[in-house]
Amino acid sequence: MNDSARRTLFFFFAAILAGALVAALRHLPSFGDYQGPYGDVILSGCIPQRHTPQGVAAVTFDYRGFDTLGEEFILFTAVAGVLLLLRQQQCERQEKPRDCELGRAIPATSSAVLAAGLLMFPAALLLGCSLVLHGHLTPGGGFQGGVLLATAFYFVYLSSDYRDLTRFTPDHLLDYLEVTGATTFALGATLPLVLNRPFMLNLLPLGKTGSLFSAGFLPLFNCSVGVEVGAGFLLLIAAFLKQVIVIRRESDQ
Amino acid sequence: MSLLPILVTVWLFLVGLYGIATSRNTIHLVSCLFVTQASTYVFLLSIGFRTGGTAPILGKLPPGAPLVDPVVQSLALTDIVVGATVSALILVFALQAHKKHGTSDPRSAPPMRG
Amino acid sequence: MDPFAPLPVLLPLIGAALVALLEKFHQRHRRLDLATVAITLAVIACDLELLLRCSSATLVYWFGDWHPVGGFALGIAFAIDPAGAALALLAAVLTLCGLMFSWHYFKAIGTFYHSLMLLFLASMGGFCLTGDLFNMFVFFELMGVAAYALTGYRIEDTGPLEGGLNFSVMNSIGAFMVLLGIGILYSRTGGLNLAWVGARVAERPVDAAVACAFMLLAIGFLVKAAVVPFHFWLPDAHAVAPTPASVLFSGIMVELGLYAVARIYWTIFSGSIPGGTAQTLLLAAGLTTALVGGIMAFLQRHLKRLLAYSTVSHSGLMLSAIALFDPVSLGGCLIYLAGHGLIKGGLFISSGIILYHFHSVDEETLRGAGTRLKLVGAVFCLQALALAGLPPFGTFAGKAMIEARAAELGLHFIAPIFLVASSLTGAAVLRSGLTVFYGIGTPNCLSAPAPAKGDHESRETSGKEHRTPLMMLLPLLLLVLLALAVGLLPSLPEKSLQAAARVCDQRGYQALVLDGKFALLVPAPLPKRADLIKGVLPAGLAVVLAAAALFGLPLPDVLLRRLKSLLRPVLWTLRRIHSGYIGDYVTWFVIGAAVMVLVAATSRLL
Repeated sequence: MNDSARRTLFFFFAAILAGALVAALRHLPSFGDYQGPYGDVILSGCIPQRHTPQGVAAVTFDYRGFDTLGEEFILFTAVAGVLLLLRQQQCERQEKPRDCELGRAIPATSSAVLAAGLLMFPAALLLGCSLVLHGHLTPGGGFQGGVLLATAFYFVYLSSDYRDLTRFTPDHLLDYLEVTGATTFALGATLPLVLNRPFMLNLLPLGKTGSLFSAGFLPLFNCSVGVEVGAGFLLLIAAFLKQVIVIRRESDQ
Repeated sequence: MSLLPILVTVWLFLVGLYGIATSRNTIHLVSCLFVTQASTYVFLLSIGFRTGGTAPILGKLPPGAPLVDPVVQSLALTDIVVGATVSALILVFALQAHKKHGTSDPRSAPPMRG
Repeated sequence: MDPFAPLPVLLPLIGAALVALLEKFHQRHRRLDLATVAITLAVIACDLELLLRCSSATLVYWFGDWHPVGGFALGIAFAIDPAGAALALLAAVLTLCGLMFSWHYFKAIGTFYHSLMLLFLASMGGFCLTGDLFNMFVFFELMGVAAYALTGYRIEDTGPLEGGLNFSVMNSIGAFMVLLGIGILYSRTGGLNLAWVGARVAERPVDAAVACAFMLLAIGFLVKAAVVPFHFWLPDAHAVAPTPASVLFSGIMVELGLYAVARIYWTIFSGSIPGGTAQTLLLAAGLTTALVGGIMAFLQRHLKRLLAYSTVSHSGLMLSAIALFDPVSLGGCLIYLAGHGLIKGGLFISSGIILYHFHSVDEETLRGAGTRLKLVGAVFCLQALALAGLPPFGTFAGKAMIEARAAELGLHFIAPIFLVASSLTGAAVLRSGLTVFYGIGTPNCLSAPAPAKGDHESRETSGKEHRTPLMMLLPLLLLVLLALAVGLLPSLPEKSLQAAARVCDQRGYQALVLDGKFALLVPAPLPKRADLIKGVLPAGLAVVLAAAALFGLPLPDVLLRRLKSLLRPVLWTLRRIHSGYIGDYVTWFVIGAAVMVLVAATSRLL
């Protein structure tokens, strides 16, 4: 197909698809008129049954926790896949990170940028930890907090240098953390099975609603997901940065 | 008003597909895929909305206050994680192809024809 | 509740994480191989156990002990019936064969290959066993992510990168369609459990939204099943993936897309969408796919691409069987699915052995190169005939049931199209087998000018032995024997009819999942045994076609030239359509989706 034929075909059939979709979707309950029952059943049950006021966390890690286990392993798979596909090829070698603009020294980091980094790193780190730890009480949770944890280390790279980032976050440590995060969730969910109860049963003490140690497995699962997401995203960032900064083709010498 | 979320959903979906169909740069193509995916976020979240509703966190709310559906939020969360990870993977394909050919135009070297 | 139920997913998931860790400690290939094979064997054992246990009553497993309250499903359930368990078992067996094949295979280490295979296995198991709509989507995505990564394994070549890109983009778009469909159903019914959604949908007359939901879900899953016009990504991806991954892609992953269509139709829509327009549409798509795939397979010289197109063709056959919306043809489809998966897995392993010896999968440059591989050559040609439906292989038994049922329903045009499609694919494979292993014939004008050659494949192996390693032959022989067993086991047709009847029993499924009530089901009577002659026919036609391709048609020159000039524009157009460019693929996707959703929105599928 040439460009114009493709465009014509696309516009024609996209118009049909759009019309048909809109016509069909209009039959749904109108906007702002959610009818339930799933959400309402869970909101009425999550405090008495699970001692957590956070409806989304209750769904994500308890009522539909099995989905989240799969989701966590989607992340795990994607990280493994990215590392597999970004491995160093035979025709490539690693060299010292250098400024790509040849013929000039690496400019020193300006103190303003460094100060901003020094400010943002602990702030992002603390906020990330808080989001993960309070995931079963307030908005947030393992996924959101984990991404923020990874961002904190990204500030290190932004405000100083690639080498500082690798010193802060050695790859093998991240590997262990990622595997630990994934397996903690899976093994925690398996624990009831070992005790001859149903898989994913929330059998830890439920505690007092609103306290840090409540809602059984929820804080543990939030933390393990937070660790995995943080480590996973750092591994992704590191793999991409390595491609751009460190790995060169043999022929480029 | 009721039609707006539907229109936004359909628009995002198709405009993303249009971007993919005509893209001349693989990185741009991945971004377009993300736009397409955004339509699913909009759709899921609009389904669970309740007029005047607040976030589904019970805390100190008076009993009987309208709350939006927590389930679709959880589904959207899964969707977002899936989208982020899959696009990381597709970006790798783009990056490696760029290293190989020195170009990011998906039309430059089709793998096999026929 | 049965403690075995979550194990087919759980074992490989935890195993994958631990194997990834092991890979960091020990850079030893053999330990990883052993650990992975052990886990896969354990999964096979669990699947077998589940298959036995669910044969009397469907097993329902509620995760987190969230049993339904007042008929509403709070949590996620596995609903394990014989059809799902058998598919999970097939996936595990094919994974085992792929892993055995890779015993001597990969030189790169520390690259998560074993973890990815285990994650792939876990996702397929979960997809087969789950009884929850969104959980299905999660495993669909997990399956996708593992498959994309495996496709691109050989990053040193261009093909895997382009194939992986096309594969991942098209399948992601399919997944968005599934998600939109799930959204519609959730908005309408307020639940995600298949039984609950089905019960609520059946309560009121079907409208455009529900019909549209069915179409969106079907489109999404049909992208995975590579049905025309959503099939373009498949040959790009299957032809370049490493052999063990190709075995799984063609043997089971594509078929799982079809399984999902059947599952959602029967659990959710069968009460309200009685067939009619939906049937016509899916049947047309299936039969077109069968023919297009068959013709394209015949036009290839790249062995793995040829096999990939034959997968497209057979996927079309199976979709046609499912689109009859009938328990008996579904039963036949289950047998056919198993038979085809085992044969196609074996064929991909054979092509992997060719690649191992010659670093090429090009039919023309390998002409006569494989004469010393006596056993592999004989098995390859036998599999080609089995692919066409030679008795007593499983493909024959399944196809005979489908054709008999279609004739009973008055759809007499199905059998001839099946005949053409299966003999075309069989002939294509047989032709390449005779060329490579026996050096018979001369280049033909149909496949020799194919642009995709595959004559310079990068090496996948470290060692170089003159003989084929035993660990490569073993899975090949195992798969052939299993395909024979599927056709020969006398109790299997009856069992598969029972399994199909269980899938199709919407009310029984709902009562069991939501209320825990089990009612015994009487499956449809077995259709009368098809005569063996009918089975020999496509295989015979395949031999004739292959001979015609190898030796040319015994026609006068004038007629031959006429025929060629007639065929040339058709072939040119067909090749041009399969352009390998993602923009074209998306345009075709929009065309197909527009037609299907338009039908849903206007006719309301009644």
